[in-house]
Amino acid sequence: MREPTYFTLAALLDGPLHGYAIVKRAEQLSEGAVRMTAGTLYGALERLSREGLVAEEGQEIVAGRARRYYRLTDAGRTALEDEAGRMQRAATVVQNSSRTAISAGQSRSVKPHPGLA
Amino acid sequence: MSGAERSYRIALYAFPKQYREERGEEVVATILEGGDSWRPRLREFFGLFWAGIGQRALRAGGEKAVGSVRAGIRLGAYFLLWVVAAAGVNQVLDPVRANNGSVAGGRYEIIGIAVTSLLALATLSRGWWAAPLGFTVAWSIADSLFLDSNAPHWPWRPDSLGLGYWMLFFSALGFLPPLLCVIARPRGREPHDLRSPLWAIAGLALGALMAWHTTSWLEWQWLLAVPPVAWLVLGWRDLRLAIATATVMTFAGLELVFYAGPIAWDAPTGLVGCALVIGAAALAAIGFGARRANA
Repeated sequence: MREPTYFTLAALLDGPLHGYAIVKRAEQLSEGAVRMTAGTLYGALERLSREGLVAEEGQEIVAGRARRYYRLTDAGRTALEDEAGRMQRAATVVQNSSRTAISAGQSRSVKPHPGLA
Repeated sequence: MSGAERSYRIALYAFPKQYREERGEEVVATILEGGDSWRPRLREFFGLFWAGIGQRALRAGGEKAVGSVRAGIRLGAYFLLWVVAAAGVNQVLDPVRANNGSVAGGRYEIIGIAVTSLLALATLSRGWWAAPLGFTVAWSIADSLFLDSNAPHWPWRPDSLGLGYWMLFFSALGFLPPLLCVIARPRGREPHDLRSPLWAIAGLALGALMAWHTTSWLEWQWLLAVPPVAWLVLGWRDLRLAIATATVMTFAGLELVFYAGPIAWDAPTGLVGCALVIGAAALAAIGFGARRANA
């Protein structure tokens, strides 16, 4: 799953949102790392709707402009949790490896030099 | 309407019409919620344009890659038919070339090729995928039987016997674009992506323009560079363009290979032909890679 897709789904975790709110929420959740253009957002929403991960949830007119709301489906929630779990496992592998490397380095550094013993 | 809004609405034209009608207002509203101004934000403008090309590719090819491949082959074959139509009209209307005969044969043969290609374009605009092949076969038989054309067509003709199968392959290349239209016709729920009948008129107009300028068709062969350039600009978003370009390159490559064989022995030409065919395969592979990356 690509980053914009992941954060689009994550933005909808707390409830239905309209297009602009999804963009802002995704930017907030990713701490500014994901700044989607409208083109990217609607491309992702179209694909996710087709795959049944996102569904439309009514629309309203604000200042003469249409606003459509989108919500996460059960399949979307499952897909997002699966992806989060996969990334967590992948991160754990790296974190464990670097922890092992650090502790191995520390044990080497505390070993007294033969000449000083 | 602000200048920015007007620009975003222009970029919306990159999307298919149906999508534009369904979502256009909503997409523009979403952008404008982030702030409206006289000047459009370039990031949003180009983002919208690329997304539109992506949507267009998706809707034209269907959801599966095989649908895009079929749509690309149809596009390439259509382009080849269109180029042949323009070249045919040019040769019919250019009195110098027509009176002296041409590389394609006698005057009637040139008229036949032009009319057949224009009919092919007209019928394809109606979605009659097999019609161009029918016209081409009918014309070829009529030409072979009733018109004593200079160009050998079939191996049973006495003047073709010495050249054997190579000549047959070379002659058969003319049937390839209409044959591809039949083989790659849309299946099931794949979009029919019919071209406008105006393209036939555009072919006629280009041929007339070339004749008016009394330039040789060979001087207009830069037209064959149109698909590669289109692919360079848009091919990363649209597998159809990669396949269409590969189709045109394969056709040009095979033509050079067969021509460089026993017809006019010329090793460098043959090598260029081989390079074009290999390049076409590479282009198709890149197109598949880009599609996977964009998915």
